[in-house]
Amino acid sequence: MTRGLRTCGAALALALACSACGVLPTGSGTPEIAPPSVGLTAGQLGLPVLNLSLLETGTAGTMALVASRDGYDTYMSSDDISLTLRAGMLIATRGFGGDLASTDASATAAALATGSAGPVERFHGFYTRGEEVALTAFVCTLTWNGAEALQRPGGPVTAQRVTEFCRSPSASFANTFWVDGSGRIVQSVQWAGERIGLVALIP
Amino acid sequence: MSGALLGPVRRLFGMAALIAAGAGALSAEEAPHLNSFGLPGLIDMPNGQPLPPDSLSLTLFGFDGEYRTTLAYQITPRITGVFRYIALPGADYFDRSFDLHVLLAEEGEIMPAVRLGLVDFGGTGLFSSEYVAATKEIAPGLELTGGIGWGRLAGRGAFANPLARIDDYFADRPEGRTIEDTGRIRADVFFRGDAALFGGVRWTPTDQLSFAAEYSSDTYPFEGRRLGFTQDSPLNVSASYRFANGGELTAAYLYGNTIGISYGRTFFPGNTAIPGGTAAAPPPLVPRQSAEALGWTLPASAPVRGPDLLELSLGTLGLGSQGLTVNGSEAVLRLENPTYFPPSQAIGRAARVMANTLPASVETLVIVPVVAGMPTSEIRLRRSDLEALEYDLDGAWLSYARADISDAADQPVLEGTGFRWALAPILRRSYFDPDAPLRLEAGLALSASYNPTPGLFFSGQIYQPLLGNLDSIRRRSNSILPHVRSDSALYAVETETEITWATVEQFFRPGPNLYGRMTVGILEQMYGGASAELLWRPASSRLALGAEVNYAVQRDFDGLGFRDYDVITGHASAYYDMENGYTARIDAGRYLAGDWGATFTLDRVFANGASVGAFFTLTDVSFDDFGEGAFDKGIVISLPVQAIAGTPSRVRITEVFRPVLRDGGARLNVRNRLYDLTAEYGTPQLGESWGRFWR
Repeated sequence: MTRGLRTCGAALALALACSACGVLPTGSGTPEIAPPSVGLTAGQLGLPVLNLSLLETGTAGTMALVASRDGYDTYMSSDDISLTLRAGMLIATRGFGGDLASTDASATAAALATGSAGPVERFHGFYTRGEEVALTAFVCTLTWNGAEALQRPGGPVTAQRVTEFCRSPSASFANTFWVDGSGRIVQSVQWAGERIGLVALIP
Repeated sequence: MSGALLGPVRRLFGMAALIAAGAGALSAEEAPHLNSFGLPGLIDMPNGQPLPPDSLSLTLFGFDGEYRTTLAYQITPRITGVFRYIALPGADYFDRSFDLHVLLAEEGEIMPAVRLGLVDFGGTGLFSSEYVAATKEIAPGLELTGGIGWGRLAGRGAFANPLARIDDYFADRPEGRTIEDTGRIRADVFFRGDAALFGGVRWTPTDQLSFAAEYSSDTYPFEGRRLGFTQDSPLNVSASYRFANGGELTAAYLYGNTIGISYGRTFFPGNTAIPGGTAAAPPPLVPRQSAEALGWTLPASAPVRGPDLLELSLGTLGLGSQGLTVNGSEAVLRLENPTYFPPSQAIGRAARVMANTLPASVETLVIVPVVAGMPTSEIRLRRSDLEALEYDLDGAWLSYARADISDAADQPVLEGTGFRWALAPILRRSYFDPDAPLRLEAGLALSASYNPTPGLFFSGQIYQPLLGNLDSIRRRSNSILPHVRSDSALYAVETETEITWATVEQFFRPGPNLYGRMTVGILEQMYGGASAELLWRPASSRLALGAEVNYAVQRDFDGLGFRDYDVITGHASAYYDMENGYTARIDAGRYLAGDWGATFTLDRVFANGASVGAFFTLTDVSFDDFGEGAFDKGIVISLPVQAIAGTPSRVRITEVFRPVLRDGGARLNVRNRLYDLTAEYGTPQLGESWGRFWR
């Protein structure tokens, strides 16, 4: 139903647009955006996967690792939405709409690795309605809530649950990390901005 | 978990995002209460407040046989421009008018907001009035408004004009405007004659509800004479409900005996509905690979070689290559971008494709966006900068700061785009015909183009109307000038299947900073002929200059042959990007009716590509010879589909509102004028929307 409405709206917009026709001489029989190149099962490709769910919409899915470079791991879904993590820390999203453009959470990462409670600063860049990237600084405190046993595919894992509460003049959110004995993030719930909200990430 | 199907995440989420965007709630400051004339105000009376900066408001109002449609745009934080269409079908009266409103003082702790307005300053004058109004919020949600009006707003309780104490000039208001005066700015009436007071109160208890009561100084003399409308009371009351989409529905009890209904909504054309858009994720940069690993050393007979991989990757993203050259450590890609707006998104994606498919030894990536076969600017990027900035917090800005952008006249395009075609639905509109203020026609357009070599295009479009009432326009032109535009309705009436255009075009770069175009054939719905244009537009200049000369022959109304009217027409043009969001433009020369003059245009151009502008043309055709409206003028609103829907698209919706289309100051509508084609690749515009580079 919603999809039908959307298609109809797009067709109407196109019709309105074309009647004022300044269409380029190339016309528009141009290449369609092709289906994603990673639309295969992760098993077939033998790629590491990332399970995610969007807590606000309840949408869940699986992504496959498509690029690793300089510590940044980019995972992509079959319909070409991507997430980029750095040592388990959410850095960027692409393709949701209202995406997280960029992140500097190096202070949080260091605090998790050393068992510190902060306060720490983290920085996010968000796409704006004016086609810029707006940077926002957040001040965060980390709370170590003790050890929890997690059921993982490889067997049970014990991890410290850490809550990171962050605020800026305009927004506030709370991330949750489960960190194992070596300081590695085992799973997490991280904020990806006002539009996407909290994302649960389980490698 | 291995073996799990990779989930479609966007399909569900994207829908939610779209709905959220549509429902984006406006804060109170962003959602003014619009009165029956489409202005911030009470019910009929204006108040002292402006519209939000850069906002566009549309208001529909109707009562007892009178209908008003108002488009109001906040041109600067202080100046509001208004275009209004008023229809009184029972009186066979249809009026198009312009207002200008100026905010004199913003609301302060103690002082009220004060606004001055010139209502219907160029129309027939039936609604002609001026006012100064003040509004102050005296308690949360409670606003008091008081004002003084002249002209129609001095209908009740009028007293001698206080300005007459300064100068007797203000004591009396000149009367006697006729239809021939329409369109002329009658500055000689402003603030003259008797004055009267008006005022009222607005109470807004919640975000959704608002109530107003006012004492109106408007006695509706014209409606009284022509429709027999009488007033039983000077008092009006209203109740408004604001919907989640920001629109507000108002019901008003007017003048003690009737009810009016209005709907108003405020838009922000510069705000993209979905920040960053909903395009699929870009390809992430992967570690550099050797020429061998990427297939650059394979023999020519191999099925997929390095160059093929690059073209395939571009094609997957909706982009195309019009020639790649690799010279040592530098690679130059001529980029075709039929998909993305703003262009930074195409450039950023092409850069990543180049970095992922070119051998590790290539360090300099040069992207030359191609428009109509012409190289525009070259964007020179260092591959190591891309690698350093892809996930940098400030990567968008830094990637712009480190890019070298210059003119690309010396980077020849190597390939054409070949044959392309499209079949698209079309909705044609006609406004303000008294018999039917809005006429529509739905049809199908088949267009095709063949681009064998760079810059040479054979193209055409056939349009078949399917459904509508455009072909039933009965009003005929009474123009005493050659009917160069005023017969435009006859084309819709007499043409069955229309050849919208059929042309041969050659685009070229005659030299550094220069762009050229030659067009021959059927140029537009009403004219065929030949057109030549030259544009000087350096890659990083706020100023551009152009010249165009055309030989135009009028087409037959049935579209099949030519009429006995031809003319040499052309213009010299200056374009100036003020870098504060405004672009000014002057086109001076000879128009279709052989008249000489100039067109002045001011556009507010937003980073997302939306624009709102106004233009007027003065030529040596006298106001009397021009006829109704006195001179050509109008408003242009242009919105990229991408900014509305979020999906990647270069299609835009452009609407030109002219109070009346006549024959003076009429220009040829030749397609593909060079400034409009190429300006987005100059650095003022390119930089403003560079935020999409990594998106």
